[in-house]
Amino acid sequence: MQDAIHSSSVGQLYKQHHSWLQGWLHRRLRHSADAEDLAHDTFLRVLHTPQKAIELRQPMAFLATIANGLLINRWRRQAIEQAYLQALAARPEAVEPSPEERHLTIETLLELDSLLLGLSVAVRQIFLMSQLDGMTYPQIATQLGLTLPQVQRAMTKAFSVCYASRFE
Amino acid sequence: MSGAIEPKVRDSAIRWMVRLQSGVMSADEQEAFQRWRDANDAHDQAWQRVASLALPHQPGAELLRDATARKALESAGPDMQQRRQLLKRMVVLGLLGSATWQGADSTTLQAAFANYRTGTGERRKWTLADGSALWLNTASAVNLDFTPAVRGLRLVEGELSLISAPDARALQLTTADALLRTTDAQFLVHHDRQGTLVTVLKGQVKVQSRRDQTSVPLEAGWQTRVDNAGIETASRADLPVAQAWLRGILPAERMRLDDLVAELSRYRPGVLRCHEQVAGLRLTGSFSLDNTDAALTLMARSLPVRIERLTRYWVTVMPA
Repeated sequence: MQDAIHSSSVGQLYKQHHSWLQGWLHRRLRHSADAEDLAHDTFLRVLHTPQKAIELRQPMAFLATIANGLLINRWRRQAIEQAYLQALAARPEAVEPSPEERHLTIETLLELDSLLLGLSVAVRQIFLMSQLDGMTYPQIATQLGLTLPQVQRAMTKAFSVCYASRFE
Repeated sequence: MSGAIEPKVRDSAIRWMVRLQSGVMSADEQEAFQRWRDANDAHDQAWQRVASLALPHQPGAELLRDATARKALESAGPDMQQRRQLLKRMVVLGLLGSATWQGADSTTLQAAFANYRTGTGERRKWTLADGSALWLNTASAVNLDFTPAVRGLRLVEGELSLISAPDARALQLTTADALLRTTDAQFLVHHDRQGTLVTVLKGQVKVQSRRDQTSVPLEAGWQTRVDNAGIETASRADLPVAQAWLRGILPAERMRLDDLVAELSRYRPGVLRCHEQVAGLRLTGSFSLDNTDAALTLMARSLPVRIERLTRYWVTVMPA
């Protein structure tokens, strides 16, 4: 019963604001099919939001906030995709991963990226060298031409950001 | 996640993790770490959390054995500004193998996800990809998201001055409170917990409240504040005063001491407070933002107050 009321109020929201939202997204994306998708995703997200968290007093601001979050996710995905394609292009091997493999890789990378969100390329590199190659800080410092405190600071930043994105 | 962990304990756990990963930890430190961990349950709990963050423990991490996937994750970081600085430093040191960084420096990525930030007391200028000039005042952060359609900027916190370059794309600056749109303008924006203050120096900026979606055009020479309640009625701006921070100056005209102290504290790390007995004293003068100690000295000379320094980072203006 509760659910029925919920989806009917979302339906109401949809009727009143869908075209505005799509227009808003269109202005940001300049691509109507993408805007349509994102508007749709926004309402899907609202449907899965617990009813009491839905701000019906300011529906436009509420919808815009959700849509904006999705937009940022989308840009994040584009950044990962682009970085992956560039890394692929820079490889000497001629073997191309299949579309499914690519898709899986990008999904997994996005998952890992969500932990590292906000970490700069430089900090990421140091973190990966330590975590994946098992390099000591003096080794990392020598290889990158940094000082030991710089490496230490980067590692502290990396763990703090990971901690915040996972637990806070 | 059950049970909050105190920030202090969390930070200790992170410090130990960073130390443990260094590869140069002494036996004594190892023991000290064990003692810290065993000392109480909260320590151990914080440690469990931090230890769970190790990258090889993440689902899907095996993928990173593939150099291509790893490269992608590494180069998708948002902070191109800092990376360029690091690159420069490495070029200077002659340490950069040409192949290592190639391919990662895409201009679209750079434009889409650059982050600009200043520390406390810092003031800096950048020229953006479109030629616009961006100044950030102390403790400020701006995220750029330039797309083919719009030149987007987000002021996360702090204060900026922007001189836009002519461009076919609209320029759109957002804060938590406001959405500002222009094609060509020069304007100042200050965002803090009280809201967003916009001052237009040249051109016109369309100010929209993100709360109620109302919007008004703001002309050169005018300023307005956007907050929870919407957009305030615009008022004439004192342009030299509004721009004084760009020259490193805080002009005060019969300013309340607590306001002055609050303003100065934005420019120095640590705590700067003012005793309530002297809060209402008024002061006129021109203070240097780059040397807040000198400003405090000046304050103590012109008013019946003394500066109490517990440490460099804990300063209180007391009744003399």
